[in-house]
Amino acid sequence: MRTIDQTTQEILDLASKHFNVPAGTLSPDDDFFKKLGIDSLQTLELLSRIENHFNIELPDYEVQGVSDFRTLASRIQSRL
Amino acid sequence: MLDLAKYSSIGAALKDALDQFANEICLIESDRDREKERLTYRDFKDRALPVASALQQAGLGANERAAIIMTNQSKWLISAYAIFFCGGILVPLDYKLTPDEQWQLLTHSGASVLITEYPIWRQLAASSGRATATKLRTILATEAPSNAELADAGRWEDALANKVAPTFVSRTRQDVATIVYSSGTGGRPKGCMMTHENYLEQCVALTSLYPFVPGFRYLSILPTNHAIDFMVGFFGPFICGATVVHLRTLRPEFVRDAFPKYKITYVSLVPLILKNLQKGLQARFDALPSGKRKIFNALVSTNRALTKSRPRLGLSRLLLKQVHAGFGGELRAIIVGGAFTEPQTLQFFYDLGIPVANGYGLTEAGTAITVNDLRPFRADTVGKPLPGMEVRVADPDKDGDVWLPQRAGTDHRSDRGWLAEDRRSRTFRSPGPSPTLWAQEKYDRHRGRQEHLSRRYRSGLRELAG
Repeated sequence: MRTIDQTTQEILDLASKHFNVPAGTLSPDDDFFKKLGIDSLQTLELLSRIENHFNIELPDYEVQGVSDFRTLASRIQSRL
Repeated sequence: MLDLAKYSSIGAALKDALDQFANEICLIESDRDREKERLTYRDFKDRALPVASALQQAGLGANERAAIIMTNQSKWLISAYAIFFCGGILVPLDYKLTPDEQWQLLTHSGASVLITEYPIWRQLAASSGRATATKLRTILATEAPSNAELADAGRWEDALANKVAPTFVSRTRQDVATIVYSSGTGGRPKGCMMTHENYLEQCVALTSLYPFVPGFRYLSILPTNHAIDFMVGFFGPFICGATVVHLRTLRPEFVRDAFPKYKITYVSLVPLILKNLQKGLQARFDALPSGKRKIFNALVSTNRALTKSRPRLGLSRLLLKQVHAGFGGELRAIIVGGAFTEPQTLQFFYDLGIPVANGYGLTEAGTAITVNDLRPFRADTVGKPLPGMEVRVADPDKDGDVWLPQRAGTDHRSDRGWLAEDRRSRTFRSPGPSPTLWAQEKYDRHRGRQEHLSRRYRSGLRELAG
């Protein structure tokens, strides 16, 4: 079972890879809309990547209003 | 299609539609690649009436306000019909707002009933805003887990067991049907009080250009609280016996798959999604080998030449078979609204034989004021005013304000239009003997309101600006 820190780090790695952002420039409390410069559609693409990586389904309502990596990680952790 | 001239309210029209199209499929609900629901109009009625009965027993009656906060799904429409059946005023709220914002609007609207999804209710119940909604006395939450803590909400599904037949409550055309919150291009949301006549007339106008029939399928992506989806993703298809397809997730891959899977006829999108779709298609065209690319470009040019005066769907589907197959082969038009759409994007889709119905309107003016009728197609226009719609230009010979009929408040005797304190800020009476209220589309820039000016061209076309 992953720890929440591991989950968070894996999400940061996925985001930096998917959006071609240098590894290590993202942190858990970052607002991913601002930091990655992405819109809501691109966020949905990232969520699909995350779901495939963790092999979970994350309903859209679970991420409604979520904008930082830490909160996103906690929502995912609860479904692992 | 029902003859809406015979009806005085949304509820009355829907009531007849459920009987007239009893065996047609009205709703399909899909969660990713799993189909969750497929309801006929008879099934819809069988679910809605017990909910209406439960609402009546809870005290919902004529002119009582009932709010819905839900993502797009079958229970949204079932609940809305139940509210109309009881004579209630529907308050459709945006599920994407924060709980505090939702409580503010629930309080402002004076809703006595709230129907929502459990995940949304979980957040609402934890918000301090609950204390402000003093008129709220009935809350129903859908899809709550069996062990869920519901606070003071009841289970929506429990209402389905209700055996008492509800009483249909008639409304007149001038009665308020909905209170729709709209913030325009910014600022505090204002409650637009829309009459039943607004919807009945608008529906006739829109379906005259973009008709529905049984077997047509509308993919509902825009939130149903949005004026466009309420009309073309609920009322319009229902009074014509067509089918509405709901997706419980809007991940691009599942939206994409839905087109061929459900043979979608119409879809409404906001410009951002349309642009995204264009980018995806363009990338695929760019990736074609040189030879195929040349053939493809030639076919697009041929299609453009042959559809210059009007869309010819059959021909376009034949010429650009693979493109249309990707959309299910039965897509008749994409409806776009809510913001400015680039002409280049509209031209891109039209050249592929996929017309985009581009329009212009305001929630408080009855959703759509103008829609491009595609005869002929022009990428740089939002079209002509819909049948029955009036648009005034303050000084027709010059650049000037565009005045639109404030359909939300045609009853001058009560001077209504916007709810409570929203009323004074954006309405005024037109000069002359007509008592019709008009929404002036030139607002004070310094107060952060919308400004729709127009510039006149020699061609007779008028450019909307601001």
